Amino acid sequence: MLSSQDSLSKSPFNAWITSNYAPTDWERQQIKTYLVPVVESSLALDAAIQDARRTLESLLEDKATIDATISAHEAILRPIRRLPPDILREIFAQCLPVDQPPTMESDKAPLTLTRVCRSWREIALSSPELWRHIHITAPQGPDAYLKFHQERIERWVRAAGNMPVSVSVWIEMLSEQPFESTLDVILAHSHRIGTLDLDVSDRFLQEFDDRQTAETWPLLESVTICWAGWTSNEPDISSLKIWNAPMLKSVKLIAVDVEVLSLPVKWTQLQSISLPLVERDLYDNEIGVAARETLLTHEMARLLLESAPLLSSLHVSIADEDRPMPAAHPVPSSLNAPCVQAHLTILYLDDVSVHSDSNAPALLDNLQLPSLRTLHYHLDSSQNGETSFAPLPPSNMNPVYRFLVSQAQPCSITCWRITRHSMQHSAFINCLKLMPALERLYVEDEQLQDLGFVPQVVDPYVAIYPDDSLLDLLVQRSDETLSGPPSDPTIEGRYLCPKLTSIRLDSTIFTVDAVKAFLACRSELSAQRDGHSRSAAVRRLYLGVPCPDADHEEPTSGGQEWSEKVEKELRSTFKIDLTVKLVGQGPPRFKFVTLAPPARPKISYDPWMGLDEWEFREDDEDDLEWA
Amino acid sequence: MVLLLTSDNEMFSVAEDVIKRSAYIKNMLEDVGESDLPIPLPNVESNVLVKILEYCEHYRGEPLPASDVDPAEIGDRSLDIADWDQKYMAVDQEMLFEIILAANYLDIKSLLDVGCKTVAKMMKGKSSEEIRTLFNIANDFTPEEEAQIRKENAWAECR
Repeated sequence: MLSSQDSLSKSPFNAWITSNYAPTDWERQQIKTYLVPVVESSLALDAAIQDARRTLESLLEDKATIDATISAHEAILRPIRRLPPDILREIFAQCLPVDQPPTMESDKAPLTLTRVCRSWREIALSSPELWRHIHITAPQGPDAYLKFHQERIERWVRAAGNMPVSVSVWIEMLSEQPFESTLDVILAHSHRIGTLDLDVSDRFLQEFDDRQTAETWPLLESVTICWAGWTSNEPDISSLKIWNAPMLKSVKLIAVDVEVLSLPVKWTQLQSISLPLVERDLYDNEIGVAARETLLTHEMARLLLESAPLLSSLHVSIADEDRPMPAAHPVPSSLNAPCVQAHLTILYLDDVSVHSDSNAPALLDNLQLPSLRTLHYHLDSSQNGETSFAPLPPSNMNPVYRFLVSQAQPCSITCWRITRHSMQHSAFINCLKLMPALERLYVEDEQLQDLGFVPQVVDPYVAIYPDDSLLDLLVQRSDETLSGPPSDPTIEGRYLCPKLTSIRLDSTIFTVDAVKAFLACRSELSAQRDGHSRSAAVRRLYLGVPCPDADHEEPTSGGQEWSEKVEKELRSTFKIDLTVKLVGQGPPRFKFVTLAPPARPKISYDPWMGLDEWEFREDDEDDLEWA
Repeated sequence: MVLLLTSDNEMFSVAEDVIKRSAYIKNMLEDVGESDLPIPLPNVESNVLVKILEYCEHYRGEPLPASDVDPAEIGDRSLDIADWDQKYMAVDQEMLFEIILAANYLDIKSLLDVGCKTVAKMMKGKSSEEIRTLFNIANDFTPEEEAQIRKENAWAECR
């Protein structure tokens, strides 16, 4: 085949093609004659191309048909079709939301799983565990819609088979919307309900109270009530008949205005009580009233513990308000008397105020918890002025430390979660020394949650202060760091918290070298272990570290690159699940300057003690106010 | 060492402490005792077994990944799958399901759990139509069944 270049070079008129020569009439006739066969060739080629195109299109069509056939048959061979129903059920269960009960939206699991294909629908509908939990919001609309909604709930509950169901209901606090159809369904299935969460209006609770009887809740084990008792016609929460449910073991009240100790529950069978601080915004309600916390005094909390000897989990919020003891318990508990709670494994303690007199007995004093495994301690500094202004108790007066020291049996706590501003750094270290079984440690920075950054105020007297010295302590043998009797000769007895495998510290000022040295030492410790020791390497590590560039509330891109590089290096070296998160530092507020090592000879605790050891260097008046 | 024979007749010689992560093999070794005969794995192909052994090798000598960790301790992640496991599971769909089937057959619970979580993560937030497309699943509902499902779920269509 000729190229266009060859074709042109063979033309008798080639010389004129690349020039601007104007041919004569005779020459123009010659050119036209020359082109006649060339044009004919071109037309013939056009026809051939058309034929070829038709052939190609036909071939492409055949190929597409064959490919579709192959694809359809390959789909038959796909391993997803071979997954047995048990595995599909497990996958379906993983599709359910983790932090809330599933809603009735048709494009979310589990409903969406019933719409994929016949076999999935069959498996989903025959898996009662997928339908055990249901979240109901009271519907609004015409009667026909209310009926439709009711039928959907009925179908859902039917799919749960014979399993006890967990129902959560949400109705706006001051809502006037009808809820009768929702209440009808709940009461109709009350004999099957094992868990009931009510975040509803006072009207709903009133109606609920009027219509139900204790006998209708034979399987009810757990009740949660949120935000009740806010309106003038508030129902008496303690009169609800669900408290008499024969199997009731767990009670959770969030911002409910009720005397907990006056609830007519069977205290001796309760296994879990939770009275947390309000998780929502304090003014997240239409009446604009700050939430009334379900707070207890130390004494009331102790009485609650004594009333529920089988308790395995307790979450209380303590305030030192002068509240009268409830009439149901005329004999006050004594915090000075020893109390042993043999079954308690989980204790969440939200302390709303620092007691001004450290000698005053507190909940943790004289309390023996031999089975305690999980301890959360949070000193809330946002709730009242006393706590936010008072310096933290010194190490030896810290309530957690005092509790740990007083335990008759070796401490078996495996999980400790604490907010950073809940204790002085030295108290934190001393507590760690008393937790040889600790496996999981989480030091949360509440300011990071509240502000999104950590103000540049770091002082070991006002917060836990995770710098390299903490890591050094964790890699030194205890006989190098602790005074007292000779340490345990086994590996796990020689190091501080040798079983630590999971650590999360929201804000630290660690250096990379110190982190590497710590991980290397812990890996070595794990490698040296023998059959008698259960020392472990760190498997999970989450560290908040300051942005390399100071005074930035948001991490910079350079900082992100740095943290990713560090993560990559440490993950590959130590085979751990590691996250290095950059923490914004925010503008400098004020700085404490420690003048001299504090000598603390006094045993009793004065909340203002220690202020004279610090010198404020305020940047401006606002900063001082903020402090 | 333990000899394993895959369905495509490939022989693997594996350290006992590596493959003992499989409860199926562990039980078999305990029942049968030491033997030079290979253990046949008629449900596992060699390319899948290579991948399974990679997992077992990574966790050799380690306790199984904890599943009871408070998500708050781990950090702000959507699903509790360890970083290494996530990378390990970054394979095509074909291999992902083969791993799940093999983990089920060999009774490696932690691997089966990670596999199921990975698939669930792929499905999360997707409509039924998107799930069909994702996994190449045929819509085999009859028009009548489709109508019934619509009626059960959509108020607008049932009036």
